[in-house]
Amino acid sequence: MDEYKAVGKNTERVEGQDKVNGKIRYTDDLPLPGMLYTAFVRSSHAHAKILSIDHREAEKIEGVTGVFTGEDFPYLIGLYLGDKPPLAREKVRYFGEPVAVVVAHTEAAARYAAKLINVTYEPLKVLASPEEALKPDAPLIHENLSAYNHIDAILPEPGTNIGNRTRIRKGDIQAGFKAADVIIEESFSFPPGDHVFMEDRIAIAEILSDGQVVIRSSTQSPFGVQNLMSSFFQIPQRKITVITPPVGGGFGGKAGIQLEPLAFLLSREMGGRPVRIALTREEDLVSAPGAAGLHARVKLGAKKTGEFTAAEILFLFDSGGYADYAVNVSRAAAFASSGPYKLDNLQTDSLSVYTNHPFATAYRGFGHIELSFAVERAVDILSEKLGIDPVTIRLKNSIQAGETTPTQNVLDNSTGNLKECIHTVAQRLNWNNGSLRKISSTVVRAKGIACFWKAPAIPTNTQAGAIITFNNDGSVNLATGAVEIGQGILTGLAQIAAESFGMDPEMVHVVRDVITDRSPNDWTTAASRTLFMAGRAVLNAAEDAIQQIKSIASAVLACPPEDLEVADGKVFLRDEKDTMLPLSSMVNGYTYPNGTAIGGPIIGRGKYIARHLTHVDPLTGKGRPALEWTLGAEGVEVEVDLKDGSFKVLQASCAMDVGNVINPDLARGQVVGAMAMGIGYSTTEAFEFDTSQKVLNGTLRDFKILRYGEHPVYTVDFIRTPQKDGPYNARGLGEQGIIGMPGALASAFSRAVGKQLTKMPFTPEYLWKQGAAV
Amino acid sequence: MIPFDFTYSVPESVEEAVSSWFSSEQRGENPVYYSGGTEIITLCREQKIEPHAVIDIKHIPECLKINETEDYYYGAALTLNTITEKTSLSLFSAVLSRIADNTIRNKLTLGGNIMGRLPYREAVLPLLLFDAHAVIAGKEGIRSQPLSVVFDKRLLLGKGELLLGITFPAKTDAAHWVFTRKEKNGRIDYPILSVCFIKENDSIKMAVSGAFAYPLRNPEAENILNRQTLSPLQRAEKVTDYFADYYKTDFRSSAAYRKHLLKGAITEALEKLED
Repeated sequence: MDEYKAVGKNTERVEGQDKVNGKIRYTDDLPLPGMLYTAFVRSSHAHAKILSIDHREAEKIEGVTGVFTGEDFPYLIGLYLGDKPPLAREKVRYFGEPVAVVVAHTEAAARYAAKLINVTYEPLKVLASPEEALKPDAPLIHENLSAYNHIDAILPEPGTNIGNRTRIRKGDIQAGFKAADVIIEESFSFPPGDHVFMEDRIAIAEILSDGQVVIRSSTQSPFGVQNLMSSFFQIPQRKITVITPPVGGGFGGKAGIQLEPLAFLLSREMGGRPVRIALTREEDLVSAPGAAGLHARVKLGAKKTGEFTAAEILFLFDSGGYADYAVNVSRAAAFASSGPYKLDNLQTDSLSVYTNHPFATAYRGFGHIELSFAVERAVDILSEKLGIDPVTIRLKNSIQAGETTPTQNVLDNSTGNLKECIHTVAQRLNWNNGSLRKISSTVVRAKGIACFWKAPAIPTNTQAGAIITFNNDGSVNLATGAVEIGQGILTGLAQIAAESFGMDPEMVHVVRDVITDRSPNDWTTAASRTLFMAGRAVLNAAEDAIQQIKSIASAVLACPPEDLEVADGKVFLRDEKDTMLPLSSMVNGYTYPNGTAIGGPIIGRGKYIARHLTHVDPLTGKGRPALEWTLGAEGVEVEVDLKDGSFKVLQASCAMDVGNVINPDLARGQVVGAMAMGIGYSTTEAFEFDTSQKVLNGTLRDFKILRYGEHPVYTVDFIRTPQKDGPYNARGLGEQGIIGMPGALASAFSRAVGKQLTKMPFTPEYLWKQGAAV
Repeated sequence: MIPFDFTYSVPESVEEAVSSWFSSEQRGENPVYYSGGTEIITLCREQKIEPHAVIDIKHIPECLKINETEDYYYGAALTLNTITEKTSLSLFSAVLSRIADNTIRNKLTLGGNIMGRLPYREAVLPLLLFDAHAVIAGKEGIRSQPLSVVFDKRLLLGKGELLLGITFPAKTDAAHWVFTRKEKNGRIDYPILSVCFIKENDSIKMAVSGAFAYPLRNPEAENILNRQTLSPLQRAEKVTDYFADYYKTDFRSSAAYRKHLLKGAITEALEKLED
C-alpha cells in the first residue's frame, strides 16, 4: 500500500463538512423566482377504472393556476418499456398512483385544493402476487402491452402480465439432475419494499424563452433524463439541460426517469414557469417506485460429496403496476442466477410480472439481493439434506477463474477469491466452534452464512468521461458526470486524480454538481460501476494532462518529454530533480522571462467505455453482459428467544474481494451501510397489504427501518485480488454488502428455530410460528 | 406542511381556554385543545383533521402542575419526559419512557397520550391500576371523576371539555410491579402488547393495551389472576381465554400471537410477583 500517495488513504469525505453543517445544497434548497408548486390526488384503489374526476371546487381555490388529469397528457413513458402515463389514464394500476395534480402559487394552496378533488372509481379485480397474475384467467393490467415501445433487450409477452422474460439455458439440466444423488426443490418469497433514502424525490422544470428546458432533479441519471426527455417529447438534446446537485441517497431509486416528464409538461402548461414536484415521505414510500418483491422456485441437485450438478430456477419478480427498472432487474437476476457457484447445467426463467402493487425500480443489489435469498436458501436446504456443513458446501462449489457464468462467460484471472472470503467470514464467526448454541431454556444463538456476487448490469456501451483543468496555483479541477449520492464518489475520484498527479487530494477540487451541458457524459451513477468507470476516465484525463504538461515543459527545460515526471506540484527531470518547473508556472501557459508565452490552459480529457460487452442470446442468455464480478461472503450471529420469536442480530461479518481499496473508511462505510440495509430489508422493510392490496404501512411510523440501537457488531474484511483493468486494481463495492444478508440471516434464523425458513420478512411472530410448528 | 390557516391562542387560565373553545366552536372553527402537538401536527399535515382554531393549553397552571406530596397530581400538558424525570413512581416512569422515542417524548404530553386518536393510550395503564381520577374542565366548572367511571376505551369528555390533569391519593411506590411491552419488530413502535401488573395488599391488578383495540382493566380477569389455587400458567391460560374475543388482528400481528404474548407476560408476572 505504501507505494501510493493518495490511494488507500482515509481522505476525509470532500463534502462531509458541508453535509454535517447543513451547508450542502440539494435540489430543493434553491427555490426559483416565480416557482409554482404541485400537489397530487392519489388513487385509493389498487386496480380500478377511473369513472370521473371532478375538480371544479379545486379550481376555485385562490392561488391555483391549473388542475390536470391523465387525459391532459396522452403520453406513455418508461425507461425500458413505455407503459406509464405521467398521470393515470382510464384506470389506476396500484394504490397511490397519481390521478390528478394541482399547480398553484403556494404549496398550501396546491395541497388544500387537491383535497377537494373528487374521483369516482369502478374497482377491478386486483392481482396480489405474480402467481395470481400468471393464471390464465387473470385480468390484464396492461391490455395494450403489444403496442408499447421497448428496448430490444426487454422481452414482454403481450396477452399476459409478463413485462419481461429472460432465459438462461446452459449445459444439460436433465443430465445434470440424473447425475445428482440428492435433489431439493423449494419455493421462496418476500413482498415489495422501499429504499427510504433521506432526500425524497424532487424535480423542478422550467422552459426558458428560447425554448431551453432546464430540469433540476435529484437523480442518479442526469444524462439518462436528458436522453429520455428528448425522445419522449421530441425535444432536441441541445435544448435540454439537466442540473443535478448532490443527491441525498439513491440506492437505485433515483436511476432512470421519475418526476421529470410531468414537471416538464406542467411547466409547458404554465408558460414555461418553473414547476416544482416534490414528494412527501408518504408519497415517496408508496406512490413512487420501490423495491421489487420476489416469488422464486429453485430446484438444485448435487452429488453425495456436495458438488452441484444442476439447477432449475424460476424467478417471478413482482414489478407492481408498471415496469420501470423491474424488467431489467429480472434480466440481471437471470445473468447471475447460479449465485457465485460453479454450475455447468443451469436453466433459469426470470420474469418481471405486473401486479397491483406499488411499482418497482432498481434497488441496491439490482436483482442480486433477491436471487441470492432464493439460491442461498436452496444451498442451505441441500447442505442439510446432504449432511454437509454449510461452509464446506459453499467452499466446494465456489466459482473461480476459468469457470463459466450463467451466460457462459469464462471468468478471467482478475476474478476474486471467494474461498478466501468464505474462510475469513467463518473465522470471524468462530464457525468451527459450532453454529447453534443454547443460552437458556428458551434462548438460542445461531450463525448463518451466505455468499454473493454481482457485476454491473449495464448497457454494453456504458461510458464515463472526465475533464481536468488547472488553477494558477497548480491545483486541479475535476469534472465528471458522476453524481454524489452519498457513496463518496467525489472523494474517491479526487484520490485517483491526486495519485495520478502525485499530489495531495487537498489539491484536487471535484465539481459537485452534474450539469449535462458542461459535465462530461456519463451513463448513470448506478450499478456499482462509477468508481471503476469514472475512475478509469479520470486516469485517462490525468494521463492526457500529464502529456500536455510534459510537452510544454520539454520546451522550457530543453529535454525530451519522456525524461520528465510530474509529482508534488512540479514537473521535473527524472534523473535531475532540480531541473524542474512548478506546475503553477505553466498549467495555464508558461511565460518566459522576456514575456513570450507558450502553452495556454491545459485541459485533460478522459474517457472510458465498457470493454468487450455483448448482447445476449434471447433463447439461451449466452453473451457477455457483465463487466467485472465482485465476490464475497457474509455471515451473522443471531440470538432468538424461542418463547416468542424475539431476536437480536449480534454480529454481521462481510469479507469481499474488492481488488484494491481507494479509501478504506469510505469503503467500510459503504459495506456496513449495505449490511445494515440488508438487515432492515430482511426483518422489517416490507409493505403490508390488505386484501384489496392497499398499502397498510405507508408511513415511517409503520414502515420500520433499522434504528441505531438495533445494529449488531460489524466486521468488514477486504480481500485484494487485483482487478487488472480497474483503477489502481479496484472494483465496485457499493451495493454488494447488502446482497448476502437475507441469505445469511435466513440461515441463522432457520438454525435457531429448527426449520428451513422460506419467507421474509423475519419478524418475531414468523419465527415463533415456524419454531412452534417444529 | 399544513395547508390551511388557523388561529392559535394561548389562554392562561382554564376559564379562558374553555370559553375560547366555545366561541371558536360557534364561529364554526372546529377548535382543538393543543398541548404537545405530535399528533395534531401530523394529522393536519395529512389533512385528516382541519381545525381552524388551535388552543394551546401549555400556559394553564393546572395543566403544568406536578405534585407528589399529598394527593398526587400530574398536569395534562406535562411532557412524558418531564414526568419520567420527576416522578417517584417507578412503574409510571417505566411505562411512559417506552412510549414513542426520546425526541417525541420531549413533546408528547400526558394529556395528549390519553386523549389522542391512537388506540394505545399506554399512559393510562398505570393510572387505571392506581385508581386515578381525571380532573376535567368544562363550561360547568371543574370535576374530578374516577377513571373507572369516565374512562371506557377512551376518556369520555363532553363537548368543549378539557382534561386538566390526573390525580390519585398519595402512594408509597408500589414496589411490586411488572411491566411488559412487546412490539412487532423493534422497540420504537406501537405495542402489540403493553401490560402492567401491580401487587397491592396481596392482590394482583392488571391493565392491558396493544393486545386489544383499547386499554382495559377488567375485574373478572383480575379475579382469575388472584385464584391462587391455580398455577400461574393455568391462570394465564384462563385469563387469556377469557379475553378470547378481545384480541386484535392487524398488520402488526395476529390475534393468536397477541394472545400468546399476553399468556407469557401473565405467567411471568405472576411468578415474579408471588415469589
